[in-house]
Amino acid sequence: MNEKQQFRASMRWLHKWIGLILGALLFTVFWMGTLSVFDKEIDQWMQPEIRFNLSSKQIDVDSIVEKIKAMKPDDKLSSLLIYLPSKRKPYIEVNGRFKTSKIINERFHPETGESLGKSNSRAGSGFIYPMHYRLQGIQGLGYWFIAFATLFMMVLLVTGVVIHRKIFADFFTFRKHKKLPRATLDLHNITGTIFLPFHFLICLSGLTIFAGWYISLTSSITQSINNKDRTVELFYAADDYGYYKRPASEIPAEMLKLAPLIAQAEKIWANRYGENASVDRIDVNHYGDKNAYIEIRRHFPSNRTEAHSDSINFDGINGEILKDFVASPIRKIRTWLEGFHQIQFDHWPIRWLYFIAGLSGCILIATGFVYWISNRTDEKGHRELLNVRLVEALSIGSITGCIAATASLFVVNRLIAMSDANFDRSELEIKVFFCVWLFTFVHAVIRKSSAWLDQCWLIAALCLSAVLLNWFTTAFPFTLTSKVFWPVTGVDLVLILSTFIAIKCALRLKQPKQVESKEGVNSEINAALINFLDNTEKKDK
Amino acid sequence: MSLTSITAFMSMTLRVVIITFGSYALTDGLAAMLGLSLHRLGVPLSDAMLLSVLIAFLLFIAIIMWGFANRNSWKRPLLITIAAIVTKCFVSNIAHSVLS
Repeated sequence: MNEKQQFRASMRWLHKWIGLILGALLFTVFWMGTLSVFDKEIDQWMQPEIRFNLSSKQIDVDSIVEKIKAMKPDDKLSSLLIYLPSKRKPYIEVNGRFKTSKIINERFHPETGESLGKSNSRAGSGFIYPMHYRLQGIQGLGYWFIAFATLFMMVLLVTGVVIHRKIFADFFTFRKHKKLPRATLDLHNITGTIFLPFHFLICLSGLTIFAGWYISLTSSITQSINNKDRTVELFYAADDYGYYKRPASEIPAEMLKLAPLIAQAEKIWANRYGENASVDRIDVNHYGDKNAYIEIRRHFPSNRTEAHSDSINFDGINGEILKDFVASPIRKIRTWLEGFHQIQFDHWPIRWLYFIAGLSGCILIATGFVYWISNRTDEKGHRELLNVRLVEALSIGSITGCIAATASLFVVNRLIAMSDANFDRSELEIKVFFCVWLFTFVHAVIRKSSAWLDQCWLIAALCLSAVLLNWFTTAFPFTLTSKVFWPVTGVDLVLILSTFIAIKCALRLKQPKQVESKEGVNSEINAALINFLDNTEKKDK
Repeated sequence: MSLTSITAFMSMTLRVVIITFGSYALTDGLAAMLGLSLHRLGVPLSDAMLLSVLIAFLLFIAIIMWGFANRNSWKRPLLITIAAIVTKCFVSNIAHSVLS
C-alpha cells in the first residue's frame, strides 16, 4: 500500500467511526433543524390561538407596557423585553420582570391588544427548535454535545470527499435497482455531493452562533487572564454585540414613551441603509429608574441575510443616544453567518430550499447507517453479529424512531386540545415525545430488522391521524367560504405527504429481496461514465 | 480475545483519545496565538478573537485529519501533544503583555 492509499484507508476508517458514534446525535440535530425551518408555522399549527395574519393596523406599544404593569399592581416593574410582530409571528410577545414577583410571559394580539393567554404547547419554537441546538433535559451540556458533533460533522464531510475520488460521477449516479449496499451508497454520495456546500456552511455557521462561548469558556487566553468577567467583556460582549450596560441608581424617574424612540431608531437606520427598517425587539432595563436605558434592535432584517446587526441604546429618561452600534467588517462575517443559519429573512422559495437541503442531510446520515449495516448482511439477509444488530437498533431508534416521536408530538398536541383537563399540557407533550422515542429503541432491539417496517407504518398512522385530528379539532382548511390559511395548511400537506412516503417505504420494505434485476438504461450510461472516468484517471497516472 | 488483541485495542483507543483532545488543545492554542498576534497588530480584541475562532474551526478539521492519517503509529499523537503544550506555554507567557 502506498502512502496515498493508506491515507485514504485511514480516512475511510475515521469516517466510519465518527459516523457510528455520532450519527444518531447528528440525525437528531439535522432532523430538528430541518423542522425548525418552519418552526413558526408549526407554532401556528400547534397553538390555534395564534392563527391569524399580520394586520397593518397595529396597537401602540406603550399601551401594552401599561397592561403589563396593571397585571401586578402591587409590584414594581424592573425590566421588559418586547418582541414586535412579524409576518411569520403575528403577535406581540412580552417578558416582564418585577422587583419581587415572578417573571411574566404574555402574548398580545397586535390589532386589539387583547392577551392571547398562556399557550398550552411549547410547539416548534419552544421545543423543536431548542432540541436542535441544545437538546432537552440536559441543559448546559447539550450545547457542548452538539458543538462537538457539529465539529465532527465537518470532519465527516471532508473525509467523505477524500475517500470518494469520483466526485463528478457521484453527482449523476443513482443505481436504485442494484443491491442494497450499492444503491444506498449511491444515495449517500448524491446527497453528500450535491448539498456539500450547504452542509459544510450550515455546520460552520451553526458553530459561529455560540463562538463567543467557546472562546470565553475554554480558551487558553481566558485561563491566563484568570478573570471571567473581564474575559466575557473582552471577547463576547463589549464591541461584538453593541452591548451596553449600566447599574441602576435607585432614584425613581418618569419613563419616556417607547413609540417615539422606535420611530427615531427606524429613521436612523432608514437614513443609514437607504431602506425601510423595522424594529423587532425592545429591551427596557431598570424601568422607572433614573438610570433606565432602552435598547432598540433590528435583530433580523427581513430583506437581508443578517442577524443581530443593528442596535441603538437610548437613555430611558431623556432619550439621549447612549450607544449606536455599527458592526465592524469582521463582525459582519459573523452577522452574515448567523443570518444564514437562522433564516429569518422573508423569502419563501429559499425557505423551502433550506427544508429540502436539511432533509438531504437527514438522508445522508440515514443512508450512511443503512450502508454500513447492509454491507455486513449475509446473502440471506441475516445480520448475526452482535455489533451489527446493536448498530441497527441504534439507527432504527434514531432515524424512524425520531421521526415517529416527532409525529406523536403533533398527535398528542391535538388530543390534548380536545380535553379540557387543567394541568400543564406542554410538559405532557414532551413526556409523550420521549416515551415514544424510548419505545422505538426498545421495539428496535426486540423486532430486529422488521422494526424498520413496523415503524414506517407507525409514522404513517401518526402523521395521518395528526392531520385528521387537526381538521376535527379546528377547521377543515379547504372550504369554499373561507380563505386558506397557508401556514397551517402547509403543515397539514407536509404531514399528508409524509404519510404517503412512509407507506411507500413500508410497501417497498415488505417486498421480498430482489436480486440484481432491472438494469435500466440510466444505469448503463452511469456505468459507462464511471468506466470512462476510471480510464482517464489511469491515463493521468 | 487474546492478550495481544486487547493490548492493540487499548493502545488504539488511547491514540484516538489523545488525537481527539490533543487536536482540540492545539487548535485552541493556535487560535489564541493568532488572536493575540492580530490584536498586537492593531485589530480590536473582540474582532481578532472572532476571526481566529472562525479560522480555528477549519484548523481543527485539518489537524484531526492529519492526526488520523496514519492511525497505527504513535508519532502523530505525540507530535500533536507536544505542539499543544508548546503553544499553550507560549500563549500563557505572552497573553499578559499583549492584553495589558
